[in-house]
Amino acid sequence: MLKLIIRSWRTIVPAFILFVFFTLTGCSPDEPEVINEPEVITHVNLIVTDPSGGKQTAIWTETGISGDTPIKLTSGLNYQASLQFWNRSDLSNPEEITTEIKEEVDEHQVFYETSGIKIDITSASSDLKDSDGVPLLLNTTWKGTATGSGTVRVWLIHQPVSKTATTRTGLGGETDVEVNFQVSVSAGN
Amino acid sequence: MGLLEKIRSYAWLQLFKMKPCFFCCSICYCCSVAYSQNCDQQIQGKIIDRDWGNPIPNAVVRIKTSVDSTQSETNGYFVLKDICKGNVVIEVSKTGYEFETLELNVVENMEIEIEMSHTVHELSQINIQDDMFKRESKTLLKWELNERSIDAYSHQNIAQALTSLSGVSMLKMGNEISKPIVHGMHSARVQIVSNGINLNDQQWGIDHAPSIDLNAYENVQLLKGAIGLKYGSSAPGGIIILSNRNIVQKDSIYGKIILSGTTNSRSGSFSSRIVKSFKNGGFMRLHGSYKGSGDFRAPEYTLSNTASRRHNVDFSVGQNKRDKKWEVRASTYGFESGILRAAHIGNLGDLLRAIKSSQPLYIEDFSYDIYAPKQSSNHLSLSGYYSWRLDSSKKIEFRYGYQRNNRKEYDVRRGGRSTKPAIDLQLTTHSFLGNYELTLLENWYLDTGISVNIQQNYSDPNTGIKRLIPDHSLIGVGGFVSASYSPNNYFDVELGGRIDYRGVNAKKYYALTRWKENGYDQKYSDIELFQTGSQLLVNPKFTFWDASLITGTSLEFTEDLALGLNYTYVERSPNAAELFSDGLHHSLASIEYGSLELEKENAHKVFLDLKGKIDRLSGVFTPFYSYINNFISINPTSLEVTVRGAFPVWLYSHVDAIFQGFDLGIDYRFTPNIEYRANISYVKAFEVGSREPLNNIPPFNIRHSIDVSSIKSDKWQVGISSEYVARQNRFPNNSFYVSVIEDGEINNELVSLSEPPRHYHLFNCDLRTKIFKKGDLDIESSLRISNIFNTQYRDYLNRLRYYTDEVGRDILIQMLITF
Repeated sequence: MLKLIIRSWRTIVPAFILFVFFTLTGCSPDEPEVINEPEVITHVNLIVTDPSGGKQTAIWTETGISGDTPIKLTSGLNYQASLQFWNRSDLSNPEEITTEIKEEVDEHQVFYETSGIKIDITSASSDLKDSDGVPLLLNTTWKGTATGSGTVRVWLIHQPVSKTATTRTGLGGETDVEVNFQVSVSAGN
Repeated sequence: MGLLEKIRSYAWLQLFKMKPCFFCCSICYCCSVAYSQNCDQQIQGKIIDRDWGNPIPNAVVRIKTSVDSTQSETNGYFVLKDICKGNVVIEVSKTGYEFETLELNVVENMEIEIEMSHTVHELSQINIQDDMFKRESKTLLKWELNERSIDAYSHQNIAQALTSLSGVSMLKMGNEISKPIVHGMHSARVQIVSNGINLNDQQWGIDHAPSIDLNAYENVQLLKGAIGLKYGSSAPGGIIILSNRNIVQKDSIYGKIILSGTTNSRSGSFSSRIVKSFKNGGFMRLHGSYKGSGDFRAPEYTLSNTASRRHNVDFSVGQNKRDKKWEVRASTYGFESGILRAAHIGNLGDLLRAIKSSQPLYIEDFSYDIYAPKQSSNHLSLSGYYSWRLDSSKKIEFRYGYQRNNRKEYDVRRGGRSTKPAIDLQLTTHSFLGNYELTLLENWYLDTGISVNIQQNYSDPNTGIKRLIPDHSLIGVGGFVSASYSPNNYFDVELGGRIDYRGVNAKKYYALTRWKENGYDQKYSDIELFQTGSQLLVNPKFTFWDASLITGTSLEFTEDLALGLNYTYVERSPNAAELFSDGLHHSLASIEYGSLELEKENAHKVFLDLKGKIDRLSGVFTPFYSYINNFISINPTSLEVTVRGAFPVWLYSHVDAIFQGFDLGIDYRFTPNIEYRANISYVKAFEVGSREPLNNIPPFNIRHSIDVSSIKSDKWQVGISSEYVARQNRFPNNSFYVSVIEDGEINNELVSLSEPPRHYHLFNCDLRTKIFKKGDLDIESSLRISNIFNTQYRDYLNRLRYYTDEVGRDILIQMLITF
């Protein structure tokens, strides 16, 4: 028995040493595949069209807002505002996330808050409605009711608890987008 | 006229048994009246191992009709004095050996020799310690969960079971994902060793519970210091050793079945073990368990998506002879748990709304379903053990272990991606340990050996989310030597050292912006490989040399007073989570980053254990002091504004820290069958200099219990216990302000992340009774009610405390069948 064990160890020990040797020499990890996160939103585009068809576009990115900022409105006029969400983390392959959001309209809700200015934001005729008929508020009509300048905070909420609540707390769910745009409302002629 | 009584072995009473030479661990306790007739004889003797012929120290020797006992010396000698002439019965007991009795007719002073044989371990014998680990430390107090406690915690996880030991708390993420905290330290600072192999999944950060099913083990020991040199001593907090008992040469088949059900989460669990042993020492052991549980319930609402499943199959086969032992083991463990749905949030503003709400923002009806967010982990382990005793003083051991750990996390995601893991990590480890044990000159004991660890971590890129932990490999080679000197039963000295080499080789993509922000492009330009899009692939390589030193002594002043003093110095190099972490933590709304600039942690720890006994009162007092240079901790640095709103950035960094505190255990026996116990523990941990408290330190807590048992044997037992946990008043202020629009105004509101919850006081009771016994078949049932008064409370050590109250009243019904 003892001999058997000695004999078996004579094979096991060198085998182990070889195993360690090969593992040690070949242990540098392979080139890992690069991950471009497909769900990330990097750009939020706010496109505001005035009644005569003139467009203003403000683009929110993590490094700041570019384009037309602040967005200039004239009080009393109806503007068409639409939102686009983009994933440009892979520059060679920009993807519009808005499509995905539209597909899952029941699970998403866009919400607006304003500070320092007064704008009525309502669903536009081109807006998308979910299966309960609740508008997503992706395409909206903006009407400034007082002059001043301030902030419009745009929210995209995933799996809200309520889609019709009037406060952020009431909506619940989790925040996918929370960005601020600067807007100024001037008096009409 | 001896009144035989089995000393009940409950969790912390066990510690008195650890040191057989101190609180005598004998099975029998006799009380009698001494006769005064010609009682001046003396019996001298020597106790030897029947199989080996080596002397047995620390065996308890007594005359059956007397209360007095003595213990054998290191060389096996003992002397019994004042023996009366006539027939006497001598009883000898020693942990790990069969109880011996010897009848003598005393006419004059005598010299005898008593042989003892190793115990045939049966499941019903609960006070037997595995001799595989008896040399773990000569000088450090061990805390132990015996088989009965393990059975009682059958449906719970290892961290929950360990909290019944003095000084152990639990860091939780929800209800089922938890890990033990010892002396204020956790994760990589508390090592877990399963059947001699280091469990290798704790490098994955705080939210990963150890992949262990407690039911597969018969003994759990906790050493509150870096004593396990053999296993790589990088854990200043402590080491948890899980083991099974040795199986002795006997033809036998035995096993047990445990069935449990609870009301709170409407869970059911099943655990079973069957052991077949053979005369030639061969054995087979099969263990299997399954647990399924639904949503937990706080006193006022359901905790939606907290259901879980757990399974474990463990098979081992081996042979256990005096001179040779081998064992091959295969085990697979799977765990899946939902994470409170309300805790999956988008940003810091969402967290503020959750904190301000008195109840979770997402409550559904009870269900057994598990959906995203959830965590699942799988652990496969294969191990082999071989030990060979060359002669009575030399032994060689080899161990090899293969482990494959997989962890997947699922988030609530857009575009039908919720069924796709957001984190998918696989860690493969090969570990090898060889050691040589040697007894020299009878009093010296030496243990020396080497270990090799090879590890590979792979992150599946199909997640579509950047890797939390990058692909990396690790090689560890270590050597250790430890020596202990025990000149007699009253004094032990221990000294040991270990040196470890660790090489880490990683390949990681960094966001270019972050690489530059940290100034890494200046400091580490040599490890940059190439840029792809906005990401940069780098190849960090680290080599660390870690040294550890342990030293300790134990002194027994009298039979009722003993002292142990230990000092350990441990160097721990940063692990992968600390170096490379890179990810968003959904339930804490935080972005966590590792740091390439971390250096190794140097921990000094001094601890004392003082054990004393006065009449019916006994106690253990364990104060400790630990100074950690370069303590690696994660701390908030700034707010990062992303498209999803604001997130605090938490970064791993160094501080010099001091941990100090004590554990106190008290036991008072009103009568042999009424026992009171109290456990108190206190930890204070802060940064050197600024004295800023550290995060997640267990608050002061006291646990009391009173147990009443039937006088004869252990037919029934009733107990009530209470747990008081104070508010943690020492906490770092990590709160943030977040911008909120209210009534057309932008305000900054405080998100009080740091604010600890109020103190709480819980009551539990339990009842255990034997319902059937015939031959080897034994059926026992128990009932336990925890949180009797359905108290509403929150736990500072629960990472999801912002969202919900803790679990309310729970009733457990358990049936234990042994055969």
